[in-house]
Amino acid sequence: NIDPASLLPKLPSPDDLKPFPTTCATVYRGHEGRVRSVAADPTGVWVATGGDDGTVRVWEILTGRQVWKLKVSSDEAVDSVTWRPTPEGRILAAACGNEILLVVPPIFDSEEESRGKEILSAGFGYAANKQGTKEAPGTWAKPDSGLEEEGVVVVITVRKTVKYIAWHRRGDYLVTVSPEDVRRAVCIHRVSTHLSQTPFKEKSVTKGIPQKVQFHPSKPLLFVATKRYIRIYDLAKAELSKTLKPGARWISSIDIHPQGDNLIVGSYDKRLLWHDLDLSTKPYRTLRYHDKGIRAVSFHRGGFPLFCSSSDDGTVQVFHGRIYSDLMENALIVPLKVLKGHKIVSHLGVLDVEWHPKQPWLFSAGADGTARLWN
Amino acid sequence: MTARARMADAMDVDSAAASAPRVQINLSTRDPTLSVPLQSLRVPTNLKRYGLSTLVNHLLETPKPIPFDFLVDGQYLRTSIDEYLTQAGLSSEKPLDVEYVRSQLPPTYIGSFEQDDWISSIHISSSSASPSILTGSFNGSAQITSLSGDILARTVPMHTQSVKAVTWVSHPSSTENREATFLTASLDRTINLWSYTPSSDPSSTTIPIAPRTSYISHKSTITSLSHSSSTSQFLSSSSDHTIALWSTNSSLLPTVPAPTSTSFTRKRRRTSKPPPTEKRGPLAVLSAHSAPVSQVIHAQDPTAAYSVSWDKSIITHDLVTAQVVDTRVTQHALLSIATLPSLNLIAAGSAARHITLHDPRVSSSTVQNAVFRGHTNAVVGLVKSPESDYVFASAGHDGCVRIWDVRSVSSASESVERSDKTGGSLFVIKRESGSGKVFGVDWSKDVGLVSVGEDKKIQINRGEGMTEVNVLEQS
Ligand SMILES: [Mg+2]
Repeated sequence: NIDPASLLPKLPSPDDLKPFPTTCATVYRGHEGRVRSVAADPTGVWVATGGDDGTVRVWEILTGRQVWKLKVSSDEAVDSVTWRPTPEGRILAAACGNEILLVVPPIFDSEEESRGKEILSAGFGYAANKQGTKEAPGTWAKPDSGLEEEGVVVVITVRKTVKYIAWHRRGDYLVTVSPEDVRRAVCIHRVSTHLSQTPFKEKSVTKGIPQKVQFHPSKPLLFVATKRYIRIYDLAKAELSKTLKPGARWISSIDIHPQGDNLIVGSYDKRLLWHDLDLSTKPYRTLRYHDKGIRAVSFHRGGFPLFCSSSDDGTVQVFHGRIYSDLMENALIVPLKVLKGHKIVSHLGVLDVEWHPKQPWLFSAGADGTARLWN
Repeated sequence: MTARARMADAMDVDSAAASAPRVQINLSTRDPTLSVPLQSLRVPTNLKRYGLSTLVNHLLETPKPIPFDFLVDGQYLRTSIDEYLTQAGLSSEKPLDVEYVRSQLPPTYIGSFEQDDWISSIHISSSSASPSILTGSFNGSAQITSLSGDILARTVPMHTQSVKAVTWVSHPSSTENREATFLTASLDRTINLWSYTPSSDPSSTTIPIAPRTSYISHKSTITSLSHSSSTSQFLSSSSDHTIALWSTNSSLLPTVPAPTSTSFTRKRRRTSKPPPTEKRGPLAVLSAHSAPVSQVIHAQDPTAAYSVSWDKSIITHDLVTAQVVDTRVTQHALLSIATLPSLNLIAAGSAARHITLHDPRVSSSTVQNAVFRGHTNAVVGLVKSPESDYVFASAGHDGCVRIWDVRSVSSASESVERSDKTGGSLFVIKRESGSGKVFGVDWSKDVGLVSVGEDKKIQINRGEGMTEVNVLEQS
């Protein structure tokens, strides 16, 4: 007569898993309307946001002071902002309508600014020699003089609204998703040559409506999440290598662990799923802590074993997620903290989350018009 | 009068206490000018702070009573001794160690002056004849304000972004018709030196000040400045991970070309043409940190400096050799630092909401000596009390300035990772405006405790017993 509970391994207490964010440290105020996307620059000094008011903004992290604002559109939202992941060049990509803007925000010193502009402009000559590729899914052009003065160097125009942008780790490629475009929902854009292409010829591989995309952190793999499945494509062999079946009804978001062997999936049906890519195509753990759909998920990339999910219930939930080098040992997942502060507006809560690149700090973007820093 | 008779006399101050139970107390103080001849005596347990203060005054035979506070096990006595013993679970059979200190008076709100944008930084001039307040603004200018709220001088547009740090180099004086100089450092990565001659006519209008020298080295936001008048050198810290060492004597610095203008500065320059300045480079660049440097300050010996960084470390630098003397790594990103020189201690404020004390001497083997909790957001400014070696104030992004006493640390609060709130502050000063982050604080004997922040206000608080000056006399 042994109590079965006593045989289960004891989870460590959150107190023993510090540091992790517990309180709201800064509120970034200025957006009119929902903040759709938040991105910390790789040096960890600035944070960028994009929102329904058609603006991209850059903020000083601790004071909450806006240091730069760009009005991109008067009628379309900025749905995704993301910094080029290398510290060199300081380039911000922003999606607004069917345009992708590559910007060097004018807040850096002249050397960094000109390096960023060089990296982005180098492809202009190259693309000029490649005229006649009518089938190209994206066209690259200089912006009008107004935008150019604000730091925009290149505008890539695709056919349908871009909902999400992700960079490759080396910063030469970015991948975008336009869910409304049936044939060319996923595009890969190469900065050095100013060329855009759809990665796969076969129609079958893009079955379902793509929601989010991401490059693997070290291997030539591309992850494409549709509503129900996550397909992993081998970019070297140009073929589908694996399909994950999280069992979610409508996937909203994915993120790959920096070591590349684990994946988290957020779903509008409130579930957060952890996949161990070596174990199975089914999730290793299912976490149901949110009261409403999950909007975004994020792993820490700067050495802290942390991940989080944000939801239309207005909260961000923070977890400890430790991976062991011993392949026989499964990941340790411990819920740490529910971060409350964002208000729910028209049933929408926290639309995006991203970790600080080096500190155990977290940024969130809310439908309440604010972005926040948690530490 | 013998000590015994004095004690009996002291006991008479509270004759109702005659029949109360007694406890033996061992009185001590760290201030040699206040030590009493008789340290050990039996007192009624119903005595409170006031009774004990009267007792010590009797023992000292002070002509004018000095208000005292009492520390038992690092905590201020705020109840009767009896209640304290009950709460601490102690018996009145055992002698109680009681440390007495001059009371720190609660700083009351004196007034505030509003500017047109968030204020990042403050430095009070030390001239007691006509103290004035130098502040740096998020609008890119610096301003000098008199204690009656008059704007005495303002910098012309030069910085294209927020001023993040300000410091006087030579203080203004209204009596001599002498030039005053100060430095500003900005998010635009430059430092400027400004000089002006204060007007002898107080009713005259605001003087516009033009810069003299620009200092070029940093690649990112400059976060702090520290000037040493004995060496005529100053230091700057930056988010670019470096610290630069400069001289206020321009002829000692290399001439450098102006930084190539960025698209942002070109746009700004179209509306306002900056005055020309000589451009100078640093004496040395210290690259010991691996993350943004939050603050650098000179040590008591101005050939040494301490710096704190988001890389969690406190580094001691030798400014003569530009070498690292000591590195102490803490648990959290650090945002502010101050020295308590007579105690050989450094206070460091963190992004994790607390303040830690450190002994920076190489011989010290402990990383950390004490921790103070109370702020509910980042601690971004620290300043020592002008009157007590043991007291300092902190500025927090939680909208509060707090006053702390180094002696008030109980053994229970020494672990960093404890979540209890012991080792708390003496006083909390809230924003009179009701909201906003505090970005900077300074404390002078003449003016008081002055803080600036997101509410665009310079807020002045002062302990009642402090030297009177005519703050706000005109209103
Ligand atoms: Mg993001």
